[in-house]
Amino acid sequence: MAAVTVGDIRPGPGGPSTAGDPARGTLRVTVEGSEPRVFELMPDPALSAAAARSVGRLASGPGADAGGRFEVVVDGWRFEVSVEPAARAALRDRVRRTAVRAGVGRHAVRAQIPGRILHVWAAPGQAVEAGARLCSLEAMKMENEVRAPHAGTIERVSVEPGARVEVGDELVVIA
Amino acid sequence: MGTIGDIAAVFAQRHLPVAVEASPPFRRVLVANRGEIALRIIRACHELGCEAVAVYSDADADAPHVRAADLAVRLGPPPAADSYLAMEVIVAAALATGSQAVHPGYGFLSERAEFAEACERAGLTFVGPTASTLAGLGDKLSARRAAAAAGVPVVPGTLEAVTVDEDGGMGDVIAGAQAIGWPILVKAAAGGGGRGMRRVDRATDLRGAVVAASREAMSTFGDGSVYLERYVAGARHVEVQLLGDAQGEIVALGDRDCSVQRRHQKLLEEAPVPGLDVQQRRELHALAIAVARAFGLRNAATAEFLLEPAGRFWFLEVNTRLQVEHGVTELVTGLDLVQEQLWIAAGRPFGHRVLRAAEAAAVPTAHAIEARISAEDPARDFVPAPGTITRWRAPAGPGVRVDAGVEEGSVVWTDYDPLLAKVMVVAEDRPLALRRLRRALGEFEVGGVQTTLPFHRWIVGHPAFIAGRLSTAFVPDHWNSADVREPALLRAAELAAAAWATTAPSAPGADGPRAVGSGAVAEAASPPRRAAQGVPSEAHLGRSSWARTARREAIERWPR
Repeated sequence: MAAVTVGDIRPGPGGPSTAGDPARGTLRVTVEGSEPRVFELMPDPALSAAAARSVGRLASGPGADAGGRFEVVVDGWRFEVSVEPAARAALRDRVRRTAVRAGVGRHAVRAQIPGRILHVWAAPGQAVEAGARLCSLEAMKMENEVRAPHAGTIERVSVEPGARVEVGDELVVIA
Repeated sequence: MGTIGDIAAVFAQRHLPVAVEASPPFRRVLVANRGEIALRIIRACHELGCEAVAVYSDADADAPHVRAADLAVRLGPPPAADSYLAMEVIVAAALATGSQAVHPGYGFLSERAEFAEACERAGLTFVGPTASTLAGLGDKLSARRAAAAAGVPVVPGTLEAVTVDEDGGMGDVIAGAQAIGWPILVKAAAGGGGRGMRRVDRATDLRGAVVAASREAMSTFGDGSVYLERYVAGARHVEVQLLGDAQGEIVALGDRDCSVQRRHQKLLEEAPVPGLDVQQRRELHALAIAVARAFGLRNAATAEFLLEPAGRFWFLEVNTRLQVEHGVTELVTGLDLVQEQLWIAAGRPFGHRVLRAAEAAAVPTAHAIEARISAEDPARDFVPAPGTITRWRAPAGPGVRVDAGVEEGSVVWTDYDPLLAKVMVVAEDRPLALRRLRRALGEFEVGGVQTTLPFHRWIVGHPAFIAGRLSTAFVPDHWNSADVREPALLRAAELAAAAWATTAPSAPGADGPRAVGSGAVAEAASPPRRAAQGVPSEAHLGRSSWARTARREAIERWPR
């Protein structure tokens, strides 16, 4: 954790009067990862200067359009964190639940690390259970298995063995 | 001073001591490596007045080592087999650039006898041992036999390869294992870095382990020979830095402790080995020199030993190249080992500096520690974490040396070892060196990729580590990433909320920040971040599940 210095007392950009505006209310803070952690909290204006030092803005990804995605490095640990007003997040949750019920569950499984496709087990039209092996990806000489995030039917397989993929490339689409 | 001649005479006088060494060992040296070690070798060349030729794959066209060199030659596409392991291409590059010598660094081709031969055939000086020494030491079994013949205690075990017949035939092997004592390690004769290695606790598991280790060794090294060795519990991993000149003189330049490892990959090293008295150091150095003599060692090498809790040394193996951790010995001795390698390769006998350092090696007067900062996630069993480095603030200041091969904007590729930088500190004793390392690691800021920094910050504050209670089981015994990471995660959530609030407009109805604040927020907003682009919505929603297979052991890394 960054040492407390005299600089911490100084108001950060924007100053504490606006930063701590209670009218803006609670924030939903999601620390991303394979097991995302969600917090609802009020921003602490005393942290704004520390934040200016250890927080970077991420240019894309969910929430980035609203400028609410950050990279935060604390004690050498790197986190990708998205922030939005809790009220807006709650609204979005309701919309998504409705969409899932309506069967709009189609989504793409994407590469989370760059590498080379070793095996492809998924085939178009195949029904898969959650956790079924879809394909495997070799990165740094290690084989990583990509599994189905939920049950469904394979709509499309976008890669073949030997293909090189970058982070974010579509691998398989499950409907 | 009137004439040009007068001035020249004065100049010659004033610079005489320098002028004696001003003739470099080689005019031009090709550095057959990449990353931090390539840069480190190029620096040594430049200090000696040699020109340095870099080689690079397409992934490294803009890498720091390429810019630092006087000439650079493209080898091929990113995979190592097509670039840094392509012997003919590298030899051709050396000839085309008029290089006289080839320095292989560590890893890649540094211990390939065929490469040393190819260089010699082409009339190039290979900076390392002779091809025949490389061939002899590449086989750990022949190294064990030679050490045993030289009277050096080797870890109890077999001196010949063990084999399993299709129709059983395990009787002799099991009897041999019983004689050695359990638990036992099955190791690949051609192995390194923990590959082709299995620990066996019971006779019933031996057959399966021998078969599996042999298969892994065959697929990795092209040689399925395995042997048995006693597993020494609670042991430390210690090693001795050796140099041998072309005249056959061999010196030991001090010892290092490399016990802090996970899966046989070193994470932190220090010199000298903490807790040894002068007598023990002399004994250890003498054993290492005896091993080196048995092989007719030339150039730089390291003899590795296990140090039993009871204080006995057991020979493990010899590495006939520069080690990753050579820098800590440099900091303690004041030598530049790469420059010495080049002088040795040019045929010069040891100078006074080396001989003095060798005399003082058993009574070290400084302590140095190195932390290997890699692009790996210590929370996920040190899985490689490739990406783009978006922020890079390396430590500096008194007693701190950072050998790095990357900079802000560098891409960490999946094709190569994830080592980014070595943070080394030196101070007069171990407690002071630890304080210095804590300070240096605290200054280090890296963004864009996860590094091993959290692990290193943790260990330099750990009571058992501070007390010097080291063993190769230190990491599995003490490291619990979840406990260390959790406070950081909570703090990160708070900091992100503060950052959002700081940059958000205060107008009612606004639901997201528009203005970008000063400082890190603004600076990290550009250039476009590959890591950020890549994180898909699935990860955000937590609906993606990734499983790593049991091939973890097969991570290909630098040999130690």
